Parts: sequence; C-alpha cells; structure tokens
Amino acid sequence: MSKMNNRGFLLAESLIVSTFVLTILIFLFVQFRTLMINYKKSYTYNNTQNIYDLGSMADYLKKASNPSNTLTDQLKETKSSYIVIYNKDSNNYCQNIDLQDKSMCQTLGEAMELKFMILTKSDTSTLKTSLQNDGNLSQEMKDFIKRLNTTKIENKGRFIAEFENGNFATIAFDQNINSSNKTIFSNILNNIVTSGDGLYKDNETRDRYIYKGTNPNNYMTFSESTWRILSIEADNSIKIIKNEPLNRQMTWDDNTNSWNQATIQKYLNSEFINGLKQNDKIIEHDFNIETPNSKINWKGKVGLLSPSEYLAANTDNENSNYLYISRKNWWLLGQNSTNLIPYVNSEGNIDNILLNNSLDVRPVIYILPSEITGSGTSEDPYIIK
Amino acid sequence: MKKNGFTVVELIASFALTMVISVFLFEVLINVKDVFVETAIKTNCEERLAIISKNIKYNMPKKGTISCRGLSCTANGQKLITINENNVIVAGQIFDMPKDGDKNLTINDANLMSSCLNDDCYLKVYFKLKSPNLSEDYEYNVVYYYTIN
Repeated sequence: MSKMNNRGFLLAESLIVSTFVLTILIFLFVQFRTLMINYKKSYTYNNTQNIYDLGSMADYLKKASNPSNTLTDQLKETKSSYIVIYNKDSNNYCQNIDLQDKSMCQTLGEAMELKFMILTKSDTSTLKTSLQNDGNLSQEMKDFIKRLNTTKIENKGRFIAEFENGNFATIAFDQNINSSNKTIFSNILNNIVTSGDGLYKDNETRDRYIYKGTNPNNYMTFSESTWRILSIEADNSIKIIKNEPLNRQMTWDDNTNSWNQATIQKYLNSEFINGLKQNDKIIEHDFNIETPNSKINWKGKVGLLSPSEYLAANTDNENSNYLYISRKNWWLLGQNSTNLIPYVNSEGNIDNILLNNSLDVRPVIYILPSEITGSGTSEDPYIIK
Repeated sequence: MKKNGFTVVELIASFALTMVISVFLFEVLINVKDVFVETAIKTNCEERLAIISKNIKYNMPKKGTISCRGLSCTANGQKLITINENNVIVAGQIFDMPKDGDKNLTINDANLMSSCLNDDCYLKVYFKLKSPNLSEDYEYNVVYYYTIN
C-alpha cells in the first residue's frame, strides 16, 4: 500500500486563491484609477481662470452685439439647441452670429487659448438629450455637458467653452436687459450710418446714438406737436427737442444766471410741462449746464439744449445741422459769466447774450416709450405709446 | 503520520502573495500622499489666484488704456498690477503666493501684455508657480477684456 503524498496545495486550491486575489487587485486598481481621473478632472472643470476668460469673451460679445438682433434673440430663433460661437479647428471666429464688429473675436480667443465655444439656452436639458446624436461636439465636451447642473433662468443663455489645455468652463450669459429694451428701438437702430444724414453711434458714450445732418429722419410727434429726436440714450430713454420754438419768447431771468433759479426754468418745469399731453412719458433726467471750465449737473424734467449737443448735430460739413432755424435766436443751456448765457443766433452760430434779453425757447425732454411706430420722416413721424 | 507546520511550498506561495499585495498597496499609499500634498498646494493656489483675479477685474478701468512695461501695468496713469518673485500687487494691495512648507511658491515666466483693436482691448496676465511637490507647474493665464471708450 503506497503512502499518499500530502505536500503542497491542490491545483484547485491554488487556482481559487489566485483568482480571488487577482479579482481584488483588479477592483482596487480600477477604483484607484477612477479616483485619479476624477481628481485631475476637478482641476479642468470650471477653473476660476477659465471662468474669468469666458467672462471677458461674454463682455466683448455683449458690447459688439447688434442691438436689434442680440445673441439672445438669435438663440431664440435658432432651431438647433446651441449656436457655435468659436471653433478654432474650422477657423470659425464668431462667423455664425450677427455682431456689429467681429474683428476682436479671433484675437481675444487666441489670447485666452480658446478652442471651442457654444451658446446654448440656460435650460440645458434639451442640449443634454440631443448629445447622443450630435457630431459637432467632442466626447470630452459631451462629458462636461452631462455633468452640468445649472439653474434655468428665463430669457438667458449659457456659454460653454473648451480651452486648448483641455479645460472646460461655463457661465450664464446675461443679455436679457439689452435684448428686451433695445428691441423697442430696433426699427430705428437698423439705420445707423457713418456719413451723411442719419443716426450715428456716439464715440464717447457706449450704447448711445445721436442724430446728425441737414435733415435726418428724426421727426417725432409728441403731445400733438412736432419734435426732433436728438439722441437715444444708453439708459434706453430718448432725448427730444421741440422742432419749433414756443409761441412766446422769454428772458432767461432778470437777475440770476443760475439755471436752477431762473424764471425760464421754473416756467418750463411747471406751466409748460403741465400743459403737455403724454407728460407721463417724460422722465426726470440729468442735464449738463456747460460753463467755460466745467459742467454743472442739474436733474429735472424740462431743460434746454447744451452748446456741445448743438455742435454734435453737425456732420463734418459745419453747415449741415438740422437744429438750425433761420432768423431765430434761441437759448442754450449754459452760463458763461455773471450775466451772459449762450444761445444760437439767427445765422446758426453759438454766441453769448445778456440774460435779460427775450429769445425763443426750444424745450428739451427725455421720454421713456414702450413702443415706437413710424419711420421718422416729416410725413410719417415717429409716434410713441 | 501527523502533519505539524507548513510545507515549504505553502510558505513560499504565501510570502509571494503577501509581497505582491504589499508592493501594490505601498505604491497606492505613496500616490495618495503625493495627491494629498499636491491638492493642498493647488487648492491654496486656486484660492489666492481667485482673489487676485477678482481684484484685477474690479480695478480694470471703465474707460481708458492700460500700458504694460516689463512686469508692471498702469491704467490711466495709476499702477494696476505688478508681478514680483513671491507676490502680485494689484492697485497697491499685496497678494503673497501660497506657502509650500516653509517657503512661498515662486513666480516664474511672468508676462503682462495689453493689446487693442480699435476700441476693443484686452489685458493678458500670465505666470507659472513652481514647486517640487507639484507634478507640473501651476499656470495662471487670464485675459481681461476692456474698452478704450
């Protein structure tokens, strides 16, 4: 009878133990690798610097956008769930969007090493559902979008961007205010010019537009009288001046050159304004009283035109100013010395005169319309509601 | 025959298995320790640089130009940003770089640039933070948009 050899392990025992240990090791390796990947991703998603970069791009796009066709408007009109703003691989630098000036898009994008950027609605649920069939977005971009957990805000958008270093960032895009208010002026702002008669962009104040020329189409009917639009302000109000002077001439005052205390100011802001219909549309606003060395700010409802505004209505040809009225002398808003006040003389030039002279008066007011119709010609003037 | 103790084969197999697991766990432990140290440094960097970014953005001019010379930029004649070896000064306020152990992180390869296209301009602030405990340099590269008018 032979002895049984009982040394070592059975083959089955070895296999079972090896399999068991190997399974645990593989499980630990996979978990650890996932941990490392997520740790690295945490520094590539919504990095503070990339958020500031995206904020800079958003500021530029807001500034360069067309007031009558904002990015928010374009987003509402698009059938796709997003608009591609920037794509370095296909040399698409803001080509898909309507901007007044696209020249800075590529420069800014290259400076911040932007690779790809889209504008989508603030509710990203539609975008997430369409990701599976989308061929434009990279897999990494899709992974980032899937992780987004954002709040839906009505009428606002969201920028999502990928940078050259593999980072991703997203910010909300706030263009709601510009879009909803400037659409009131969309029919006017469609006709911005750079020469001749018409509406010009103000080079000194952002989002402000002024009329220039011999006879631009800036007629408006307000309170059953004809007025001319001087400017569309950055705060969305319209500044208008009465086309014809008042029926009566007036002195500035008998004693004081101070606008605040002058007879003319008190008349305009009491008897005159109370006689206007639609005076609920007139808003209190800042007026600049120009002196030789400074500007004094006055806040009220009815003022006058300032000397610089009169000159600003000229085009390059100094004789082309729609505000000129032949054979009329009318007050401007300013003070040059104790008794001298600026005015426009019958030849259309600015001069100074003693405050106790009787001159014509052309009131200036700011209005805040909710709707504007008409084309601005003398036959079809703008009408506000 | 009675069997006391282990066979040689059993011992060798046990030791081998234990060594494999130990080496693996040891490597994991080293990695976790490195990750912990790197995370602490990166978090401090993120926090400090976020404050710097906020201050630069706050002090950007509403109108006007920014001119940069070397590692310093001025906005409308006032000093906006200066980059030194261990700190960044924004509008007169000093921001030291975070510490790595006893020493502050050092700023390297710094570059300030302001450029304009018509009315549209940008200021680019770039520098690297180096540390032996960071697997790669921590880059700060932010572009701030502003307009002349």
